[in-house]
Amino acid sequence: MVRPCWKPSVEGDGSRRGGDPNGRFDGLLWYKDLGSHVNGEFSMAVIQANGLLEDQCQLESGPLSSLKSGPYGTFIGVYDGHGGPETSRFINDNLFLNLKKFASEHQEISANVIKKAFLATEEEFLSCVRQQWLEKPQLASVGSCCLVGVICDGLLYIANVGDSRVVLGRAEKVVRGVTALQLSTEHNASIESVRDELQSLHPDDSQIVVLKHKVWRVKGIIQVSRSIGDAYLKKSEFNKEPLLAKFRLSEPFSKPILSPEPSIFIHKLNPKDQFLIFASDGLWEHLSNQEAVDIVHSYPRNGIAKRLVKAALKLAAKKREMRYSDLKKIDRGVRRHFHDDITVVVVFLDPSSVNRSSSRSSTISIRGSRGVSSLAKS
Amino acid sequence: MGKIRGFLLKHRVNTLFRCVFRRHRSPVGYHRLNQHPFCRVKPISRLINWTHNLRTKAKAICRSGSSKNLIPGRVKCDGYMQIGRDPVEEKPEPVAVPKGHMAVYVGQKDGDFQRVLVPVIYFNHPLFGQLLREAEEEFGYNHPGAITIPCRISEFEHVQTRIKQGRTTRKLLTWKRQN
Repeated sequence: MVRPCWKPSVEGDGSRRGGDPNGRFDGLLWYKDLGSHVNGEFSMAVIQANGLLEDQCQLESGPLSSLKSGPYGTFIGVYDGHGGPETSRFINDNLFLNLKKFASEHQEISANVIKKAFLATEEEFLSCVRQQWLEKPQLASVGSCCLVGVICDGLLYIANVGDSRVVLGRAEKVVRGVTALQLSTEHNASIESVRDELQSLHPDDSQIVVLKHKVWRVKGIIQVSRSIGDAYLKKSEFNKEPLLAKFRLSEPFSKPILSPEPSIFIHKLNPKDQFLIFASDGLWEHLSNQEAVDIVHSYPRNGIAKRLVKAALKLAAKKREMRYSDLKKIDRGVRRHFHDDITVVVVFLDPSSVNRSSSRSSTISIRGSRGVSSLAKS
Repeated sequence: MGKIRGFLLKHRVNTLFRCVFRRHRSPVGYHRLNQHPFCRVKPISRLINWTHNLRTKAKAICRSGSSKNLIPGRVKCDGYMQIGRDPVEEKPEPVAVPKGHMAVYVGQKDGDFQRVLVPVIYFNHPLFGQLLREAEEEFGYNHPGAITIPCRISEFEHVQTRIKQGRTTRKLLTWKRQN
């Protein structure tokens, strides 16, 4: 009873300040100011708003398969969980391994390999839910968005499920500056084409998308139309007891309501392509694509992801008619009333290193924090 | 002759120079203390009085300007505003919320919402958390603008006084998070 009361004081503890290679903590903020990957440099930052951090992220650089012959490159993942942290953590632990497995089988990186990795991760998670169905049925109501970028052989693959977003900053001589180019396709019911897609997939269901709290939601429950997890909206076997009624869909369904299929986009990298900003929707609800690109373009690389997070928090504070310095006093959990969990990964594309093979020997693997409470427990 | 004349000229120049010099600079110190204390002090004290008046008048203008919203540059005068006064009567400027506080709107459906300034630390209190949960059920997390709490103002004030009492008696311990 008493111990949880003392937890907050652990937050600033020096022992939890993991050394620079694995990032640092500052209260609810985790950040890695600058690191280098095969194709350039990167910066990462995560701010926690939920009681348990639901966002996860990772950057892997070096071999993308278990073969020595390659392929080599950089893998970036941003996973925005909902209903709990379990699915996003599961993806963080398994998706890259699955990608490596299929890349080894096919001896290449391709849209097909990435898609297979997504679907395999989904299947593994659903079997995990099935295994723990009796002791932990609420696992069936947990899900996650999943945004992945793979840079390999001068190509950039973007695969997305849900509403995270990646924006490319491209130097244009005409405009004098850097223009924003959104590369990801989002699956949020607030987008008309997504609602149309849902309606065409479920022609018999007039209630497939519902406006609630002035926000479009699939079945009046969830904003995204595609996700990993959310077993109770994929298979009827999970939409029943012992899952609590408040997490269940009242009517039975025959076809899965949500899909785990990623939208994949392939982009040939150009010397004008300067950087990529991967972020969960928590950032984009406060900053526009161009605003974010302008910030990255006009400030030093070191700590740029943290700067983007701060810019978003300042706007969040302004919207709630308070000061940024006061927002920092608000505990996790309650913070969710002010902003969502926010994950930002900025990846710089240095043309000199895109086709370089000398740096292949180095392997970089960095994961975002697991959040304040889970670290305090361990 | 020429030599003596020259000497005299030098003297004259010297005395003239000294006269000018005395009149303008060095005698000031002596005169102030001894011979003419008033004629020198007076302008200085007058200057001091003048600046003092200017300052008080400027203050008065600022104050009346901020309350009546007459002066366009009133934002600069925020420093002289009284704490109790609501500084954002017509234009909601978030900057004007006092440090450590934030604005929330309290009221019931279809009624008038009252703007209340709440200390930010109250938000971490479990009693306040209950109000926030109600707000979330009613409006969702993505409600644009300031937080709106759907309850009666009397109910809200009751919660505020309970938090205030709790703070003074049981202090921080009990309401640091339970989960």
